[in-house]
Amino acid sequence: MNQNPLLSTSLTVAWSGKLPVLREVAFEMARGEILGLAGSSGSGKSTLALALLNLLDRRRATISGHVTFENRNLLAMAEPELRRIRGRAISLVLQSPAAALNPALRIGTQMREAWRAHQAGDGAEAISGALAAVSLPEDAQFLRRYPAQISTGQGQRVLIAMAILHRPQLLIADEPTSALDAITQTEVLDLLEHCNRQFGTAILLISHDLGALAAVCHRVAVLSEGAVVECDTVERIFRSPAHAFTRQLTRHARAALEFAGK
Amino acid sequence: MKRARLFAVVALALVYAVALGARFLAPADYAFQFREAPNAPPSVRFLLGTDELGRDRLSRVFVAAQTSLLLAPAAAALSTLLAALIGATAGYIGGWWEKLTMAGVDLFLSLPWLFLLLTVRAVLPLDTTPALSVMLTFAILGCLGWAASARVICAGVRQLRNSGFVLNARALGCSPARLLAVQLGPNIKPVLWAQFLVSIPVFVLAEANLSMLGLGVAEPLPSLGGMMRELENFSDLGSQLWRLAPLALLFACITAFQLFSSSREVQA
Amino acid sequence: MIRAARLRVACALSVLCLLAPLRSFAQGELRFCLHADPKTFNPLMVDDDASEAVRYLTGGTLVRLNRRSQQLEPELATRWKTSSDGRRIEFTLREAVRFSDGSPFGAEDVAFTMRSLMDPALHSPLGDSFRSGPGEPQIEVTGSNHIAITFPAPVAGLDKLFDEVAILSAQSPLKERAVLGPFVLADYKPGLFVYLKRNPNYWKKDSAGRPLPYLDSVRLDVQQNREIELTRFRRGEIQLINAIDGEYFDRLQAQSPAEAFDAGPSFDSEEMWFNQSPSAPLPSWKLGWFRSTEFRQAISSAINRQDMSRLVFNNHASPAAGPVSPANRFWFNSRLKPHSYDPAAALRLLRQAGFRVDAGVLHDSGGHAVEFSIVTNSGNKARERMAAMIQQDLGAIGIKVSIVTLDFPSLIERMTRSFNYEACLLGLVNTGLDPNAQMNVWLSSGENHQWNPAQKTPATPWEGEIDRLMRAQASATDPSRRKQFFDRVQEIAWEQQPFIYLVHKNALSAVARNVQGADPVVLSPQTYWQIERMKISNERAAN
Repeated sequence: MNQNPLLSTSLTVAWSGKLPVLREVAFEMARGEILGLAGSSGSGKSTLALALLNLLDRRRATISGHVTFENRNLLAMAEPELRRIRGRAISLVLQSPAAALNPALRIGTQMREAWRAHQAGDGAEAISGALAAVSLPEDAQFLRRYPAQISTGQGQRVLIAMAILHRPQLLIADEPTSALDAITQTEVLDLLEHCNRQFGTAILLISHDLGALAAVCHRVAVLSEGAVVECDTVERIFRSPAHAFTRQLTRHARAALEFAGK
Repeated sequence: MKRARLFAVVALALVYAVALGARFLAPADYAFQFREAPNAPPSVRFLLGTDELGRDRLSRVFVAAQTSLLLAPAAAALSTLLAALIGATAGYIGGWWEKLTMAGVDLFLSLPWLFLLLTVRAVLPLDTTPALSVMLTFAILGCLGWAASARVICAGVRQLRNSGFVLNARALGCSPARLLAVQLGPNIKPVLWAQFLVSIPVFVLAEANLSMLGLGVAEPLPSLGGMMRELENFSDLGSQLWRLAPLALLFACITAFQLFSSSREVQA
Repeated sequence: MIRAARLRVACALSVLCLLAPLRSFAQGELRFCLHADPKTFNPLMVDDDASEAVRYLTGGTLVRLNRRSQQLEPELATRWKTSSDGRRIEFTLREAVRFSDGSPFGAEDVAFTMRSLMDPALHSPLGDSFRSGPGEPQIEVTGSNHIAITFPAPVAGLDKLFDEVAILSAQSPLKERAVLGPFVLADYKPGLFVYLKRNPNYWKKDSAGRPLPYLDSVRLDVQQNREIELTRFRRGEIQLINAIDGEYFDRLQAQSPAEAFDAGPSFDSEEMWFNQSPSAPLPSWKLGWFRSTEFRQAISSAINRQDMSRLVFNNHASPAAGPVSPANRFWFNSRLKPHSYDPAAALRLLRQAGFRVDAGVLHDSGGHAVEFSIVTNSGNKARERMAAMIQQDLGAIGIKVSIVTLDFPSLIERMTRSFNYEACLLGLVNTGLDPNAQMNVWLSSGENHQWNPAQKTPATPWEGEIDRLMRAQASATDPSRRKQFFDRVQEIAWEQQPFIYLVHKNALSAVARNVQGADPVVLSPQTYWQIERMKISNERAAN
């Protein structure tokens, strides 16, 4: 659709000796776009998120195809070069802050490590900017806390703050709301939308919840049994779902939306 | 737990003060043989009695504490550091490198290292001072003692390797070196600390065993291990409990280290 | 159920095991330990301690060295005579003696034994000690009870050598199993035990005319571990220990003083020497000290041997004067006394030799501070303590001594190949009474001439003198002439102190209270040298 997409992929991933979990998963993303990726649990969503950053253990997973980001295939790139892209051009927000934050390090230390991965100095300004952008307190006292001493919502914001620290062109968020309660979920989604508008960051939002995706995404791709079965604007997906699985997803989403009074 | 920690800190501080100031605090020259009073029981003159050659046991315990309790932790630190480097790298990289390293560890554990110690002792110049030779002995012990700890540390790191925060750090673009040092380091610190503490008595006893073979600390310098040689083949300990002083000191120190470390963990 | 039954069987078996020794003690069985399996039961081929013990208990000899008086006594020979040139010996044999299998004993058996022993094809270590020159001995049977043996060259101490020659039967089909000693080999389980039974045909009788030996049997258990040996002794499972360590001795003495025997100074000595080898990689001034007679004498007088015997050996040792222990009654030079502890005299000697003391440190005439290291073998507590005492004694005259303990192979490497050591502290084990056994130590060309081994020509006049005296004593046959020569060797060694002899350890042994007739001595076999007269009382020793 686009002459020069930010990201385009065609991915097949199999864990050693088993049937592929992703089968020629192909989609493109334009700059500044929010693309939703919907799929039930076990459809290979998380595997896809990691594969896009070439973070899968290549000793256990067989990966073929390509992940072309700004005309370069990340799958063919050497590790040092990949490291320069991860966290700076493409960042990843993991599902659970409880697991993704280092329990033994203070929040401040973890933010600083994220900064130092790509730039010199202590990055104090950038860190407070990022914390402010995700509506977290930026005082020293908060930075001195350990992950166990903050709430899950705050944890998720910290993960997002780390992810946007270097103003990436693409942010991949893997189920960023699944660990949160409904109100916090909305706040986090608003936050992502805000980042998209403010910094022009393209976002790949991965979720099992089509309703949540509908609220923020420009387009939605539907992943079923390891393949993209449909990819279109939110409106069209809801109006005329082509695939049986999409129809099932939209029914659930409508019910939820009606229940929430939208 | 607070009280236990305080007790441990005070006890360790006291022991180390004595160890550091041994030469000033010792009531007699640790090497001087009061030949008219061998095997003396405790008295005002000899608070812990004397050994077979009439040397003041209290003074010898002080100097032994200096040799053993300063050098054994140093050797423990050295071996834990080596174990951390080797074990953490293997655990983090995993795969064939881990297998190779662990095979190396097995081989290392099964080699008869006593021969290395023998050889080193045999090629040292004969005029090497006892102090230097004991430092070398502990340095070698430190260099040889890493293998078992490396295995434990490797297992710890292997578990952490697949954790969410390591994945997150990789996704943030952290380099492997910083990831190991900054992200994994603090998480395996309790393991390292435990390995360090476990190693201290091991090294004190290793030195004692070497002393049994006559390869430990050279006469007349005492070490806790060397002094414990007095206890072998001794049937009448019950009535001469003061002879157990070096053993009691070692035991107290290890207990204090344990209390200190366990209360730390509770706090963290 | 099966497991319980098995356990019960095991318990029953272990009870049986406990009872078995109790029963056998009542039958007059003596038990003690061998530290290894005997390598041979052929008395002519004996070369190890275990085989020697079996030979002593089973073999009959023409003469026997009384282990207490150290004199030869008649045994199967009632009379003997050595010729003045030391080449020929004649024996008159005891009559009406029979081997254990009943075959008669006579001159032909002695001739057969000697011929077998001297057969070059046999390669008998014992035979070698009779070989003083080329050629075969002539053996003449001059009657049924009379034999004369003539050797091609004089053999030093010829008559005493027959103490080790167990006579074999020339006719018995049992060959060497037919014996003339008090016991007969009855059973042998390698690694476990050697079982000896009373020889019913043994010729000796006690003063009341009762046949000897009194004991029914002797059981020799093969046991390497000395610790276990002592435990078994304390449990009453064995009755004799020939040689025990000072530490065990003190433990035993504390618990049961009547069972611990200190027979006085043994033949073994502990000594220290300085490296005088010209190939030693040492600074020339150090070699200069070590080659100075005054320096060595001063060191010797600065060491307190009394303190050493008292503290290190708990009085189970005596200050040593020289290579020969006073326990060696004939060869010991009784005019020599151990150098007495006299630091003032030591300093006088050192000043004479140009040394001086500055600020408590001894310096040589070139201004070098006097310090040296003593190497000794690692793991020997007594030697480490002796070294620590020497360290303090020499510190008192301003000499700094450091102690280095080395594993045995490295020590030997330094002593015999690299010569890279300054002083060495070691012990010398003497097995024979005769000075010929020490030839290799005293000859300047000898490999065991430790302070400066394998010299082409004697480095000093006194070493030349020792060479001459040692050769003279070896070729002389008259014992008193030989003694004169060897006395002089001991005197030179005492003056020159090439070996600084420190102490003779005492011979310590253990004999259970229920054993009668044992008279522990220094010479091997310390506790059972008069086995045929030993008895064991029926009740177990009360512990």
